[in-house]
Amino acid sequence: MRHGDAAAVIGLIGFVALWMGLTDGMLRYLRPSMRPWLVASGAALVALAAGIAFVLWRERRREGEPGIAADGCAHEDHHRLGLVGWLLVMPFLAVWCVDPSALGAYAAERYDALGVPVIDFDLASHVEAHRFSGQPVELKLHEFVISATSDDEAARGILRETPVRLRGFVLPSTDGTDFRLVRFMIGCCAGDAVALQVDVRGYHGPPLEEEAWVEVIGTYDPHAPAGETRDEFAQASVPVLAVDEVRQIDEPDSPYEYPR
Amino acid sequence: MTATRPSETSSRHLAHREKSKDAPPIPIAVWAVVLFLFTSRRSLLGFTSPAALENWATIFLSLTLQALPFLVLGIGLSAMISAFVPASWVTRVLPARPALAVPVAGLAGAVLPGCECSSVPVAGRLVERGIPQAAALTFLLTAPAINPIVLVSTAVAFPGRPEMVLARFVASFLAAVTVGLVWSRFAAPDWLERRLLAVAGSSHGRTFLDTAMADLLQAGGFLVMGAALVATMQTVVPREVIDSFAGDSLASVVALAGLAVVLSICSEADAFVAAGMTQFSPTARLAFLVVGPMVDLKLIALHAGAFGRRFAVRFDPLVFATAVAASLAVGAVLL
Repeated sequence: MRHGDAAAVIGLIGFVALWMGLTDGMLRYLRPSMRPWLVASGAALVALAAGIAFVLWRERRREGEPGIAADGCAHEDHHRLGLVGWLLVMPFLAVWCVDPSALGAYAAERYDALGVPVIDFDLASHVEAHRFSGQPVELKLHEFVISATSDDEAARGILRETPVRLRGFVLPSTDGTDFRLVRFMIGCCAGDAVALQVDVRGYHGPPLEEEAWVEVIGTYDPHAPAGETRDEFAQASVPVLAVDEVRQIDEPDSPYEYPR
Repeated sequence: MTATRPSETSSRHLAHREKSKDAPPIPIAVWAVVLFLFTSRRSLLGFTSPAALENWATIFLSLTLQALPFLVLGIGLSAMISAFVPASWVTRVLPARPALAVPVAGLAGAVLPGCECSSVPVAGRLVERGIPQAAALTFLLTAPAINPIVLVSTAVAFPGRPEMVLARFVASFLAAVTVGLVWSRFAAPDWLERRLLAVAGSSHGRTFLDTAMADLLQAGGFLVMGAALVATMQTVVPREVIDSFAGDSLASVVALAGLAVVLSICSEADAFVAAGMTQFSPTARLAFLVVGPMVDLKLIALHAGAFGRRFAVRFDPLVFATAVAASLAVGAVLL
């Protein structure tokens, strides 16, 4: 790999980081708090590429002058840049050619073997603070799943009596009426995603497309028989919601939920 | 270090570029592909990407972009070491006896908040600066495993279970120091090949620039390779496979440790994933947390890139076995 190519490759990966960081592209892959780091590293890489290019340009100009000749290659071995650096082109190609969206149905179908992390969440005081005149309480999907699957009888009691509003995307079931509501929770990046899932029962509207984003209003149903889960472990973390209302929404800017 | 006089080296190694006019045609081919795709974008693909490919690309980009800032930070640090830290400094601050130097290096790693991707180039430059191999490798292991950020995120992921944080700290430190001591006792010096480019620039700034470029291409290239490998595993291997190992047996501990290697989750996020794996025993989840930051697919690629393949095939299995053993021992006492 020659130094000119090295500068270009480094500039390209820096460009990808800046592009993703300055648009909302990064939200499909990383948690929002990574944004400044991504932008800073992108800027640093572009600056490094520019620095290398500048040094090259200066040396080339100096070479042109009489009296300072290019030397022999006795030390070439120490300065050869490996071919592996070319791989830094791959992220650019992935963004440009595939332009992948956030994790969706494909991942949801495969990930349900992993359970949901238990996060401290005080349902009682949340409901107290957000309930106005019988309106459904808005909950994040992980807050609902954690409360519904916890050992805390009091929390489950509140859920049984409180209509909630949840957001996620649709994973259709085979019979076409009921569906599963899914959203991913990520710690750092989509590589560590956990699928949050709720079985939505009692929906009789027109069939929803796979990965359509919806807002559902309904109530936790502790007595419904468990859905077609794949194994005994996943079953415990897929609560059932008896649904009153389903509304299609746009995909949110942040497609994931975050533990903190 | 090269035997060349520093003042001559830098101008030479850029100058001889002009001589290699007969360089292999790879650059032209790569740039032609990039340019072609740049101008035609997706029109030539003409179809929406298959779900599996898109899932692969999402995970690949996530891992790459997530690691990039840490890699840049680590490379900045390693380039600073090359440019500004004289080799003599190391011998003054670090005890000469490995039995002392190894734990000291381990604690140094624990204090510095680093990610696994940033500690590899730093450890590489430390070795080049004359730190004993075993000490640098202990630093390499502890820096991502037990720094303050990781411990806090573990405490958050396991609310009301402070013993998990303690167990993670103790088991990781124990494993890293054991590996360091075993390495200093038994390893042949030539197992570790210094594959990092030796740079001797005419000035501090020039050394910084050359080191940063060389390390970035080397570590960055292997990082991308590792990320592609992990994305493939995550896309292809069904996670249900993991559940067949759930339980309390030794097999479940080894299975989760193996999962940590395959998933290659960043050490600052792995606690959340481990917390969700309620079907596994606490000791198995501890093994997941101890092994993950020290050896995973992405790291194996980085290790091979920085220190050679001969190093990786010896070092990584040693670390894996030691980390599992440490998790079993600490888990039996604390969890």
